[in-house]
Amino acid sequence: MSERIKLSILSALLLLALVFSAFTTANTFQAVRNLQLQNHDVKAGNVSTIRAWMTVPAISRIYHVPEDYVYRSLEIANPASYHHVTLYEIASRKQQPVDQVIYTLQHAILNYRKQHPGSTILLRVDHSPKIHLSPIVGRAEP
Amino acid sequence: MNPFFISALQQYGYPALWLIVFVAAVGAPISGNLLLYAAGAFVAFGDFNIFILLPVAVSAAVLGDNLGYFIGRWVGTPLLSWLERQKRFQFISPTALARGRAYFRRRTAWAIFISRFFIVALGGPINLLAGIEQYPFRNFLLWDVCGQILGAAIPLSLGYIFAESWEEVASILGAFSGLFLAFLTAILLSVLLVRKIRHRRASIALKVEENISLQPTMSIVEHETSPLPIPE
Repeated sequence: MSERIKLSILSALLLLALVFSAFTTANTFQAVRNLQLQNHDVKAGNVSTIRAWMTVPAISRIYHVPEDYVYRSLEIANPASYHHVTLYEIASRKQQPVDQVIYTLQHAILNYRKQHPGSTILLRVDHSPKIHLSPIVGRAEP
Repeated sequence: MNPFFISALQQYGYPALWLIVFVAAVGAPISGNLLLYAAGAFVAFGDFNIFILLPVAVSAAVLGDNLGYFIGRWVGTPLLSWLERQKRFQFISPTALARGRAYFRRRTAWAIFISRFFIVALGGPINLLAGIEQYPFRNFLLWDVCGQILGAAIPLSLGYIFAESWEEVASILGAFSGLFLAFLTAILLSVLLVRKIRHRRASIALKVEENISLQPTMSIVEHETSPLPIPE
């Protein structure tokens, strides 16, 4: 292979590496921003932060809702056997899309907060402009 | 992360974690590291004990890495020497291959250590390469255990601290390791390119010098070998 071709290949590879570096830099900044938003939303008690990996005890702890209430809202008859079950697995057992289960939970938590207005989380949430009920698992809409 | 693995972790506990981390360490396309973030988060919710999780995760990862190393040693070495003998598979010149292997041998310890906790995606291939290159097993084990202790402790503790947002933290670490890899590649390529350009310039300059120094000699030779003047 001639020297000129080798140099051209190296230059092309370097250009690719630089493009990849720019892409990963943007990606890193975006990831940091996502963490900040997620932390803010979780602290505010925003129900759009419910994820498929969460179990009922975890949801109860994060969103300050009694476990029994969460089980009842999901129509689970034997809560003992669901202690270590994620929402993904609950959806699979109920033969429902996981987004549907999350949507039901979001409604249930908001209803609970309406019924129990003394909750500190609710007071914080009421002042927050970010609280939205979304069936999509993801970031709260601004 | 596939929610299936997280569900398995919740339902079957430590054995599931051990198995998934082990399979991931052997080289299967599963992220055992992400599962450790999730496990750390579940510690915060009271589902697991960190003092059991850490040895379980480290032992699974180390055993998986060792299996990868021995696969490389027992299967990879004869396969590579067979491939080197086959002329139709020689895409890279034997000199370049030998240079690459020597380069890897000089930096194997660091490669093993860093790929356990920082550039995790390279862990599986590096185990295989270390085995193929017959890197001493004791050294491999030492660097592997040291790296894997960090490799388990970092995601478990970050998962514990950022329990509700462990996915976002994991994506930051993933993005950061990608960024590091991209910059490292760019720097290495830049150095290589600069060296090539310098080498090329030097060889051109040498050729020019040779031409200049040859010119008077040529003239002498031309003068000496020129046909004798014909006497009138």
